[in-house]
Amino acid sequence: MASLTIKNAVKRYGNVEVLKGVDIDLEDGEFLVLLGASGCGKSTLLNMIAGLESVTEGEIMIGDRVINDVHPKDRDIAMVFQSYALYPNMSVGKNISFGLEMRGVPKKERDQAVQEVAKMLQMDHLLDRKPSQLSGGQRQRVAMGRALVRRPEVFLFDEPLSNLDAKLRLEMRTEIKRLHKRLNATMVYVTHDQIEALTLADRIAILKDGEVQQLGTPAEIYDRPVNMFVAGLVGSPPMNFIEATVVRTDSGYAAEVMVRAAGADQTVLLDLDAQAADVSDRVGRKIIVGLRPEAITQAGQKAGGDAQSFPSDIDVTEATGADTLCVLHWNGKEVMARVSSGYAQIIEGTMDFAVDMSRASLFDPETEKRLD
Amino acid sequence: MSDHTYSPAQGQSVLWMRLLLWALLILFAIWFLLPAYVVVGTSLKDLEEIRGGSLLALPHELNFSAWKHAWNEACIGVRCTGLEPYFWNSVFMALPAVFISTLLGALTGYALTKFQFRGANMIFALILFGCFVPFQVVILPMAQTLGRLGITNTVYGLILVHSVYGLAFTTLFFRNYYVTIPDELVRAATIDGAGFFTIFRRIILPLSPPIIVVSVIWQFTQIWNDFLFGASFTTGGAQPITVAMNNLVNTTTGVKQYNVDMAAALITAAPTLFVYIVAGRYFVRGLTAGSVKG
Amino acid sequence: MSRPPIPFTDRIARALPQIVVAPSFAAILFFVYGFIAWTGYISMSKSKMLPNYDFVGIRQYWRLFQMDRWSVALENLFIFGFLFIAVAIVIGCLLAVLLDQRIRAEGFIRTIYLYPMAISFIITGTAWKWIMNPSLGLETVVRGWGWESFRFGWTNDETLAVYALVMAAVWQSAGFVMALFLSALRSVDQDIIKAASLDGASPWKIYTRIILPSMRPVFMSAVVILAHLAIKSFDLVVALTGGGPGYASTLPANFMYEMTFRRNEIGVGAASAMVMLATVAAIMVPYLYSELRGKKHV
Repeated sequence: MASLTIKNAVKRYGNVEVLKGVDIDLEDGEFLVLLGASGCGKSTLLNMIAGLESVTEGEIMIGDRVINDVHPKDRDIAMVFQSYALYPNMSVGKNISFGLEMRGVPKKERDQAVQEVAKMLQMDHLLDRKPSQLSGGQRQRVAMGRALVRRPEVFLFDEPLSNLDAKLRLEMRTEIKRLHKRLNATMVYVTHDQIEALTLADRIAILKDGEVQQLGTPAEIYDRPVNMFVAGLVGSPPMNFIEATVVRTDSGYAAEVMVRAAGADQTVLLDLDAQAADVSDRVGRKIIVGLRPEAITQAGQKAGGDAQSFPSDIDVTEATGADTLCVLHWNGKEVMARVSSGYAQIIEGTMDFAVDMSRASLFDPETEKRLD
Repeated sequence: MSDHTYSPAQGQSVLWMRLLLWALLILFAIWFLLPAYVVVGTSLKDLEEIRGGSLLALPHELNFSAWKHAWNEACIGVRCTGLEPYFWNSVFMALPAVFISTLLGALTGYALTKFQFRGANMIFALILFGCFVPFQVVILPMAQTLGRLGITNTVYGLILVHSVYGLAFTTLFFRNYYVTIPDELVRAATIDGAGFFTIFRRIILPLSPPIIVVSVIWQFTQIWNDFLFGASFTTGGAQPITVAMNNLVNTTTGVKQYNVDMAAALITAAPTLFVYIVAGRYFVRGLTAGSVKG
Repeated sequence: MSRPPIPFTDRIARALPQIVVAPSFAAILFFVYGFIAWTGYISMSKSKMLPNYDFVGIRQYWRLFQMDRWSVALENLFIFGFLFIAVAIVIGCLLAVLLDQRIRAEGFIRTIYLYPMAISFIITGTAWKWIMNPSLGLETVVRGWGWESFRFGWTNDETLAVYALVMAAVWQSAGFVMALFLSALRSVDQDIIKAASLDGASPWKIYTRIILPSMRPVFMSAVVILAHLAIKSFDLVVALTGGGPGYASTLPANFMYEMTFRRNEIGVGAASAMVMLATVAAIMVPYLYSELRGKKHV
């Protein structure tokens, strides 16, 4: 097992800069998720770690070995692909053992290793089948088995679950998490699915336009996004961005918002005292208050220590089972609130909502960066 | 187009349309089959019957003597050996040339698609244009080059010529086929530790039989049916069968033996027709593949 | 931090794709582009019976265009090319539409229409020449049926010989055009057809307004490929008319062969070959360019 270090990695195709200097340090056994929309450079970065793309500038190290110019087969990595990339002409067993065969492992040891992996992934009965005879989930397992059998230093996953249906995706997600625990291997996982990122990662690196926006634990990313892009990318439904004017109050500062209640707009002051950010020089100017839907909930149901509550009209409700989402109108825009499903009966009308401003994030409207 | 219920009047017009459709189909079928019928029929008649009877009349009996004559007695120029030696010339020319051009085309197509190196597209475009060059423009230098290599008027010369000029087509076939194989397969194999040739042999080739069949059939048909190169670079006993057949038909000495001419045409056409009937599906795919680029 | 140098074997392994492409590419460069240059040079040289590398500029081209035989060949190419392409496409398209009507035995009929593509033009020529034989061919048969003015001995008639070429070439290639169109017809989105028939369009309207217009790319491909076939046509002429009567049905390809191998006019032959190349390039280069550019970024 080994650490993975990416130092100022740059990738250029001609004049197009796809990665603009990425720095990531990964400890031995850590699970890193690269999260971003398509075209952000996350797959390119993964391919650079794998050795399938050259490194234009910077260094990539596994342990203390620089691997920029090391052939993929000598990097001691394994990769699981989005399309699984199973060799169509080989049986499942052959697919799994191919990498060992290429490394000159004797047949007897190969067979044994295949058996072990097959048992671990519960697919011993599939070994003689061809990939075309397998279901999507089984193919996914074979692809995992092919990576596992070599016991590499670093596992790389390129959106491995995106071709599965929702139920299988959940199952395999748990499976990957379990494998990581069991093998305690270093893993790098590329996805555009923020829930996968939050559930799997020890740390998440969020990429946009070839730059790391934020590198942190899922909790840091979720609770303290460094900018509006990160805040909007992670969480479902996404964070509400409410444009508000900073005003002085008796106790300190507040953000002034127009809330529609009983059919008319009412002024509400959202208390900013629980915020670490210093807004004293922003009085009279606009800021963006970022509130996750779960920070706006029904009053009385103790949303947080010092939640403030006020009435607001409910436009539409969407029951999701455990919770009900309510669409409110603040500042003329839609705002999502999450209410526990005991209140699902409420369809329209006015209700008291509690807002937990200690969980709010404040952003500068110009730079879209977090105010702290 | 769909299964609506028709009123009786509509049913009438549909029936007429159907009759017209079949009339046209059969008329065209007759037109396409006419030469085949005439050639086979004539080859089975003797000269008396040809001169006395109608072109379209069925032969009185199945008389294969013209076939035998065309195969090993007929005079081509001054050599009265029949088509047999020329038939084998064509076989010995076509088989290696088909093999070489297909193998090189497969390797080139593989390298160009799965290892997108700088200039790969440019190289492909340059090779592709080779499919469409009128061969008249290369004949003269080719004749000189073959002369310098000392293989003018030999089967080897023709093997070289057909291998080179077939390469453009086979590269096109394989390239277009290999772009449909996911790159991730090659990436996975690379990480598994397989090199360029191992990936080709263990992963790519086992996926290639359909396109190999297309390439082999196309190349075989093209090379067997070639006349220009055969006529330009060979004389006498080294000629391929198409050239020999044409000479046989145009040999002016003696009585014109139409039945032997037709039998010779049949013998010349037999191998490619056989391939067409056995593997027509792949033959059509090759034809249409040549027009679907990119 | 210094990186270890890349091992030599790794460098080779990395360059393997290029190394493998190199021989094929070199062969194409030499045997296609090198030879074109070579022929180009000869076309500007004094060459007569043997290649001669004295440069004379465009004199051979000037001589070429003075020759009646060449003007006849060019004129024939235009007549032959235009009719061949037009008729082959009309018939091929018609056959494709007919075969697309869910008929029984489609595979069998398709096999009949397409078999000429498998045989050599030499055989096509020989067969039609026999059918057009003035005394023993189809002409005599049809006259025997009572149609006294029927003429089918086209190969022996100065004006009709070119049409004999068109006839045989269409016979050989119409099935190919049919195959092209048929596969395109079959790949038309069935939902569009369903939508159109729900909108009340008749089958005829669906064909003329929706399906055929959507096949423009195939149509272009067919035109380009047939044009290319027409310019290269050589063996059909040799076997069917021998370029005759006289040189009435000669085509540029036959002209080139005649000059180069029979008349010791290598320079003129090379010049005619270059003109043929220019004609093909004028058709193919824009076509290939648009095809490759359109699909490069997919």
